[in-house]
Amino acid sequence: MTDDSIYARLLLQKDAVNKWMERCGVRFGIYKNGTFKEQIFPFDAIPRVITAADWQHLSRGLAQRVMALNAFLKDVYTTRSIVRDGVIPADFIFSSKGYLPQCEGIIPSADVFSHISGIDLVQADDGTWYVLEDNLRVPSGASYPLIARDLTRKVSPETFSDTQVLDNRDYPNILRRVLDDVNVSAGLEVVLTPGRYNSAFFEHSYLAEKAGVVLAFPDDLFVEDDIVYYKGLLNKKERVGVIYRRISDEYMDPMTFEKSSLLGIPNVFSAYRKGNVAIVNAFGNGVADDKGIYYFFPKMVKYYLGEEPILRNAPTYLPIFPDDYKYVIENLPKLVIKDVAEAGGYGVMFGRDMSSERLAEVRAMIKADPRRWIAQDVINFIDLDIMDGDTTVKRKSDFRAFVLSGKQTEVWPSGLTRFTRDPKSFVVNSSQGGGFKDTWVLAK
Amino acid sequence: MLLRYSYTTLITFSAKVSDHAFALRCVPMPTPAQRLIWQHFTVLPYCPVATSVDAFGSVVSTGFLGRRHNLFAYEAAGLVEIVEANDVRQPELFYSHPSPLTAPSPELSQVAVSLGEPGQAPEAWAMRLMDAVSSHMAYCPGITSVDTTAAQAFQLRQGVCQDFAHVSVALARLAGVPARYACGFMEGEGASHAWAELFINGRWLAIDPTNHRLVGLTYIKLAHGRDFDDCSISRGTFRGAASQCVSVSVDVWKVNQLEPDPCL
Repeated sequence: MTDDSIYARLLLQKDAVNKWMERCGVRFGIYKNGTFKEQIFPFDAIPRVITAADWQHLSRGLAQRVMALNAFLKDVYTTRSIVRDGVIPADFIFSSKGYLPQCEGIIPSADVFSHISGIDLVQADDGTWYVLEDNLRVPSGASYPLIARDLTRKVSPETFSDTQVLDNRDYPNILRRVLDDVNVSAGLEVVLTPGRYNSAFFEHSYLAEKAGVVLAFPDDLFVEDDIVYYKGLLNKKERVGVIYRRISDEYMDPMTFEKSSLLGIPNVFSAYRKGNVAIVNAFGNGVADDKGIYYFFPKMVKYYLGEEPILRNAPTYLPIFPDDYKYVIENLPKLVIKDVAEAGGYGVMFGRDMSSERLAEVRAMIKADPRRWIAQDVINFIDLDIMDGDTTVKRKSDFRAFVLSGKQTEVWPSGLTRFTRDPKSFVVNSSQGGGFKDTWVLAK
Repeated sequence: MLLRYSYTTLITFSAKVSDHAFALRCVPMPTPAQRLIWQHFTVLPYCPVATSVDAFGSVVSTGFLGRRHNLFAYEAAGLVEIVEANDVRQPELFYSHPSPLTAPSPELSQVAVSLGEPGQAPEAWAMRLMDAVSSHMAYCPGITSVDTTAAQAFQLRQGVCQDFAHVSVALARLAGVPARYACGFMEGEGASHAWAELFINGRWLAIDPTNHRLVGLTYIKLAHGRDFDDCSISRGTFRGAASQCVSVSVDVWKVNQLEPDPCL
């Protein structure tokens, strides 16, 4: 194979990288039809390469986006001026599943709600980047490009010695800085995992180890007198100052949310409300990454920051508005329809794949409950090269950028590039069995 | 009106349990109509109890009993003065939107329409609402559970005070009237009680559809929220393979003069 790309030498070692991946247990679990299967998260050695110029634009846009979203979350749970000023209808906030009235009036440590934000973008074939969705609850994925870089450097050090790829291996340090920034009473810092049957357990353990914090299981933590403790050796009680939790809001505290949850820490919400522990990411963030709220994002940037949004949203239609409804009903075959309550690539339907009966059914569903759906124009993503044996093929992909916010907001110069292995599929979510690539950001 | 209350719960376990966490809403919440003169809260076996006020304004007592035990008991007791006073606090916006247990159904929407608009005579409308709920539903314990929604209870046409309150709240919200679920104690009732509060004419009007009357001076409010799940009087989790036997007793009685706290 002749190849003069900057990653050519790495490709000669691709099998070695994958062997290391396997040895390190780089896995991703999938629940399908009620059964759990953990599998190797397939790695493709060809990186996504982002030019310095593109990155400058992206990183400015991403930082702006997360700052606006954090401002929005604070506003939602305190004064709600954005509703009072008529920018976002109240209904969109209160009917969002992610809105938690229990969080009213709570301002988290250091004013940060979304500490680790995973922003999903795609690049269209004209080069434009579009934000597809924001993930402000428990976005996963940073560990994969992180370990991929570590392993590719190991097997092919010369690839990185004379290229201008920005190092991405300081992610754990940035994460640690965020945890330090929001830590309450200099307490213990923990990553809380629901356990090894979680799809991202590899990530939980890897990040805890790399960031030098404790990997805690639900049984390790308890709340006494509204203070969270970690049960150490010989039941030594250690006060916890920050929980980087990898459990969603509804399962975090059976005393406040889902009663039947066995994964949570009883009364942790009460400790959080009193400001006795920081929760990363904060409770109630789901209201800001709701697919219905996404529509209002450009207005949010202008409202809170007085700036024009740097990054674009994918053209989106909300059937709840009459003009958009008309457009959606008339152009359904051209659109992708999403259920606002779903995540992880579930509840996504493409109009062009539907029979005329199915189109009629979907139109009826939209008519019956317009609030439940959003529609977007299908964007033609740039296809990326994927190794298929010793040849390359083109596949759909997206890009999850990670933005970390403590006292400052930093954009990690890397990210998770996911791709579909199925040539016909447009859905690249890792919950749906795709693979991943490292993302190289060039310094110049 | 001076009301004394005593609320005790005794839980016995068939085997020792540990890591017992609890969250209780059994201290009367601050409202314009009730003044807490004294109260105490005791838990056995001893463990530290923290107190906080949740986002809805209810007082929450939380605790954790790590060591092994086969009995758990608590008593909340106090003296409250109840006065005629309107609660004029503006409703939070979330009281206008359906919550998980009060989501609308076609049947509920139909009844909401038949009640007409609150319009110029919202008190009369509230009475029509209460009449509709009281006549449609029969009080019948054991049919519904804590997870029964307003729509389900309405379809069953029976339930307990919680269901009557949920249906009332759902109907009010369908008519665009902010409404909340409230729970507490009532004189002469041996268990906790639930009712509905509707924001009309600039104040919260409390109706008791189970007893088909307005909430008056013989009620003590412990908590309110969007629905039952925001107001759990008692929630707990423990570790251990044990079955539990729970006995609860509620006593509320009138007194004529300020009685001192018997514990002091």
